[in-house]
Amino acid sequence: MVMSRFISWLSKVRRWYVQLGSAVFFNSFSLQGFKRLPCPALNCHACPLANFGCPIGVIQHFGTMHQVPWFTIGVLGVVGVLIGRLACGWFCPFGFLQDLLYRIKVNKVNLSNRYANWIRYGVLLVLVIVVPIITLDTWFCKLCPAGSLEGGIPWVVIDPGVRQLVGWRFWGKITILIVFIVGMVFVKRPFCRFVCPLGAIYSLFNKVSAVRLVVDQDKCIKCDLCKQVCPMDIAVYLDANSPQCIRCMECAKVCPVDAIT
Amino acid sequence: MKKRRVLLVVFALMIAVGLVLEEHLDILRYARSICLSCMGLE
Repeated sequence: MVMSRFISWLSKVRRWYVQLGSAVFFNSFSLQGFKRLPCPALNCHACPLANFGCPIGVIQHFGTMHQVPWFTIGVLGVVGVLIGRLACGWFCPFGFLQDLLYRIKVNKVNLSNRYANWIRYGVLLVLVIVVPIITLDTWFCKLCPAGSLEGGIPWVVIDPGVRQLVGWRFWGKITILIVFIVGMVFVKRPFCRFVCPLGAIYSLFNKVSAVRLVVDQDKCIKCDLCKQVCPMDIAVYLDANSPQCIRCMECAKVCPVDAIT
Repeated sequence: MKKRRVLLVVFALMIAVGLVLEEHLDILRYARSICLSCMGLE
């Protein structure tokens, strides 16, 4: 009952405001002591203004020390069980950037979600867990476009000492960032759908989380409007709690027969 | 519903274990250090 009211309330809220507020809150340099807590969304703690630790960075860091990050797994697990991937849709600054760039009016490219989950689980397993344990280095961070945008570029801009360290590896990371930024204009949330390891962790809880979508199949007229507005390109009436669903509630807002609650 | 409650208890226990091991302090130290090599700056 409480959750259905919450879902109904969410579908009335303008997500844009919450996303902007979260991006500012996570990067407002006001709660530096909170860096002992993993951020519930992908937000690089190397950002000069970051308030929280990046959970993916923390998992890799513990992997390099051959330790289990109990605290971080516990926090992500509690968030996942309660809200699933809602954090991706409402709180993630990098997701917000992707939503904004996709608003640019150009001919869009449709990419199938067929292998998206497996690619993300592969990134999580290989780059975030196995490779750091073996190489004792945080390899996902070395490739992460969110880290380049929120950490690398600001530090190069504000610190002349850091600027002298710019080399081919930095430009390699910038190239990855540019590829994703261009991709964000043409494809719906390419990083979230195909790469994000934090989204992969939250995906595991989408089927059991307290916040979940319900489609009334008797009401649904299968008009596909939900798929058209879905930032993750899901046909919601086929799988309302798909591992890709970020609980953005855009589908519920546009459903002409109010079949999604 | 029951599965969700069990999962919540398991993850709450993990948080408790992490707090006992003072992992949050390690996270604080790690998150405050700026990893230049992670940003491709070496």
